[in-house]
Amino acid sequence: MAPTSFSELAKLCRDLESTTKRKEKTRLLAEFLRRLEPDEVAPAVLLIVGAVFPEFDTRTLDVGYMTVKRIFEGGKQTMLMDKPLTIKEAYRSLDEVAKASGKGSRRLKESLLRGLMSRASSEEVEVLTRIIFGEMRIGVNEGMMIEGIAEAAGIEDSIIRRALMLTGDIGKVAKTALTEGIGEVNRISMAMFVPLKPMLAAMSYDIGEVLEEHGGVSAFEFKFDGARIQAHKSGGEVRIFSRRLTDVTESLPDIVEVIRERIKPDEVILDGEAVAVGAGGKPLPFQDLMRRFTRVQKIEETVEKIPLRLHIFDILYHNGKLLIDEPYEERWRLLKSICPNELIAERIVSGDVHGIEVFLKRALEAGHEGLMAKRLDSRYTPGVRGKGWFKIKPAETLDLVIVAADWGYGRRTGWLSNYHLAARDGEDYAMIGKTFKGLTDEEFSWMTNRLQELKIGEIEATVYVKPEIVVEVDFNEIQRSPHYTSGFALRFARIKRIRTDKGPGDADKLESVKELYDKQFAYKSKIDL
Amino acid sequence: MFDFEVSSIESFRNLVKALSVIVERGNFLVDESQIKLVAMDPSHVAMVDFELPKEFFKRYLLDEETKLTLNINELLKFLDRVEKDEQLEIKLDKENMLLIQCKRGGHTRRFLMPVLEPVDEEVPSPNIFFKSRARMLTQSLRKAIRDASLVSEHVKLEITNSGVKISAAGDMGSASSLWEKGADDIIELKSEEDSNATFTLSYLQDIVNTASVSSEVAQLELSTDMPIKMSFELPQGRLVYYLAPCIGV
Repeated sequence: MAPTSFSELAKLCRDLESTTKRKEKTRLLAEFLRRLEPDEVAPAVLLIVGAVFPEFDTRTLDVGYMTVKRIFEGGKQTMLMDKPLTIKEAYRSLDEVAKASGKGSRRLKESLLRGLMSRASSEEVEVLTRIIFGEMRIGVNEGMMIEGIAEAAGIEDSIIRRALMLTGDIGKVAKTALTEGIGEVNRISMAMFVPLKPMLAAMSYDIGEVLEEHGGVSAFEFKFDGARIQAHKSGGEVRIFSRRLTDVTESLPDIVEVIRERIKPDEVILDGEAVAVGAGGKPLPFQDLMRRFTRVQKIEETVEKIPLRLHIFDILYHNGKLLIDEPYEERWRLLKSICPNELIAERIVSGDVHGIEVFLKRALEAGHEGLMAKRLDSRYTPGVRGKGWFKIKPAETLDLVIVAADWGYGRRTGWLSNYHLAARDGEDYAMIGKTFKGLTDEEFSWMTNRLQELKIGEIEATVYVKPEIVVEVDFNEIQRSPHYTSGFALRFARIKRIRTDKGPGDADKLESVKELYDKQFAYKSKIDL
Repeated sequence: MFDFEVSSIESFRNLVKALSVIVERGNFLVDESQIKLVAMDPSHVAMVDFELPKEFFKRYLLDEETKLTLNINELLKFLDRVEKDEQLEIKLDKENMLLIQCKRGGHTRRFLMPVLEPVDEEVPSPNIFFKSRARMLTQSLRKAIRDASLVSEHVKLEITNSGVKISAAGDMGSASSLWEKGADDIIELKSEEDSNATFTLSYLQDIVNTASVSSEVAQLELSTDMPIKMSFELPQGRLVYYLAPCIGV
């Protein structure tokens, strides 16, 4: 059979983009995948999800906008041989672009791309450009692709998803599913030294809520202010991977030594957190920790300056046995039996809110971020943010002034129920959000009366008031906002209580909002690593 | 299996370098009379047609026709380590490893590099009837292209009965070289029809720069908006390139 041309893939992308129906997308993907030759499946799947490389592969195309722009300037480069571009050729060219490094690589990348683009029709160019910049915008993420592969191969989604979790390579999983069938997909297992995505946690600010979700009792560990690592050990060989599955072994010789010397079994994969410790054993700022992870030169010097402490909290694989389907408590028991206590994260198993609060306080005082709550019977779900694990952090709140309110409708008709929230900005107030959440009916009616007393004007359904009432506001995060002149907006704001004890002069300043924004930004870059 | 001794290290290295601008993975055909490589660059814009006869070598021993696939850039790295006054031998042993051996005054250095799996690639045989032809000094051609590189990414070549012109224009200005018929650097000129075509400068520059080290005279064959054929004359062997034009610049 003739190799599949890239134009067919480009056409598929256009079809996928033109429908929002999940079922239709699945059908299109499945139909396309079934038509491919065995060795076209992996490249096609990777190109369609816009990834080019499997997730654990750290190569990137590293092509800038200017490079692509230059390629399209000037006339059309003709070719000596006019053959339609195939999927495999397109993939191979991109692979070569990624491989090009060192002296002269800019030019080599450009000439490879020029060659690739010159063979492509305008529709193909569009798709290639999207792939290069990592913006496919055809609504096919990994999850959607899993469904496509599942339908094409006639295998259940969950089996495909699991194989993907274990290998991190959707191309390989697709090829196995389509060419070898369910038996081989089931046999796909975790390979030593190929990292798994770490399990993720949902967020909570409320211990009671977490306990309820976990059936009254849960295991609580410190949420360390460090960097997530996954350690693979086979005999004397150890490799360490970061949260983003990058191999960081060379940068962390001290962690490697601890794993090699102090962990007993022959083959094991462990999940944990590395914390940079300063004087008194408290964690160092995150930037310092990152110096350890990115360092490639003078490693020994940095090891001395920024010592790391390892806290192991999970075991995923042990002497030939995959453990991710074992309950958390079983994994913990095994971990205890093979790992010295001082390397294991501190934890309590409890259903007592007060006792847990004391433990949370200890975590915060030790310089950590909060607690992790892990359901005792939870499985380890790589890469999934579920309710099996929660991270518990003390909630941040802001004291804000109400500067206006909208008349409610529906159930809240007759009440001023949507409040415009503002922070102090010099002599003025800068709006950063609106909310109608958090108040009881009684409070709504009190608020409506009080606000009407403070009314200074009314435009349509909005009543503007003298800044007087201060409310304590909970929120999920602070975002940059082009909408408000303050430049910030609260996401999921909710009034926690009315602060009758505070006047407008006690409200938080816009500067504090900005500080909180920066702080959460630092946190974000943390979890990205 | 084969066993060659190279007589001129410099010339050999320069020729390999001239191939490296077109292909990274070269499929050589080694037979009883010559080494041959015909290859297209990955983007199908340029191709090279190369032959090096056995007379180029001091020793040329071969037991059977051999297909040899090598990473040319890797080969160049080793050749760059060979010194001028060393004796250079190139051998293929049974394990499919290429041996590069340098000897001088009782001292032997050996480099081994892997022979790659051959990849079957279709290479076209351009069959173009060229309307114009010019033989000229390679150095003169090289300098004119260098001039053009100051102002543009594209360069225009024109051959007519009255002369040869190489020109470029861009935002940064323009540059041109004009040789009249009978100019010192033009050895032969023949044109049935005025011919011109425009080429991506980086390709042309790579080709002419590397080939000019090995060749004093180049023959350009051109038809309007068709691929150009550039034959670089060698003391022994054949070094010919084809380059596809840009249209609508």
